[in-house]
Amino acid sequence: MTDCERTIELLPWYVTGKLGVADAGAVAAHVQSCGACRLELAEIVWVRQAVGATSASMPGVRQRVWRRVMTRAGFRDTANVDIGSFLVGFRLGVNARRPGSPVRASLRVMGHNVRIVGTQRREECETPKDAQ
Amino acid sequence: MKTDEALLRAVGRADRQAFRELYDRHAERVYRFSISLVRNAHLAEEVLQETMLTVWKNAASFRGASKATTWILGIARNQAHSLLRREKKGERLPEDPKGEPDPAEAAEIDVRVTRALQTLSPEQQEVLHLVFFEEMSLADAAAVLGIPEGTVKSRLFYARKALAKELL
Ligand SMILES: [Zn+2]
Repeated sequence: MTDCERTIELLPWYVTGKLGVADAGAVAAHVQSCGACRLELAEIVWVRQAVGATSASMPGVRQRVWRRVMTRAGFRDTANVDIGSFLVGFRLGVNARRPGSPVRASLRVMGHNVRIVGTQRREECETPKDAQ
Repeated sequence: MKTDEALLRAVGRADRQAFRELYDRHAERVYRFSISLVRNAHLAEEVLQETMLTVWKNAASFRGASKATTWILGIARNQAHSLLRREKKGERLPEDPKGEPDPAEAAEIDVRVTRALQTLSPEQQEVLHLVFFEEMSLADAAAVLGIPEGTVKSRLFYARKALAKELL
């Protein structure tokens, strides 16, 4: 296997920073001195950007699918499960924000929608976490 | 914070809170990977759903030999491929998303790139996604795909060349 072949094989992981020090060093040294491999490198950077640009977001998908998974897994039957996922959802919602910033969450508890908005609810919100 | 592997072991003991947390951590990753394969928001939701149900049912069999992420994405891959096979055989048709906006369109993506990706085989699309979007190491990508590392390298090479050819 030539230096070029070895380098071209490793270039994708060189671009994403997933090579070990030795491999990364060898690739970098070869690319410095080889115009053909520099062209390959440019193409890989460009392909990576293209792949990243098409990645879809998932508005609304997370909750919708979770409800279906819960139903299919048979979670709906027991009331304390709703409380359990309520606590987890609660904690994640609060943790996702910096201290002091407004807490916004809408949760479904025992068949009721509960809306939590505003910093004044923070202490109340964090109680379940500390209690665990 | 619990590691994914610890969460997965808890899910294996039927811990529902752990399952919710694992779901929240991985739903997006599974969904994005699925949509890179099935190219349809509605089918990607179905893959996500079946993947998570399989995780719930089979978590007890997770032995920790692989990372939780690669284990879960491996399940997603199997689900997506079996769905694609059924589609090909005409056993089922993609259901109408009933007017819901396709997230792939909502996210203002490059239409040209999407079209180009659609010309690639599912095997080529998934390797591009895992390496360039998930930024997986060679070993992890090989684990998810269930193929030797050498095959990952060559498959990725032909995939990116095919994509570049479509676009340049
Ligand atoms: Zn070279």
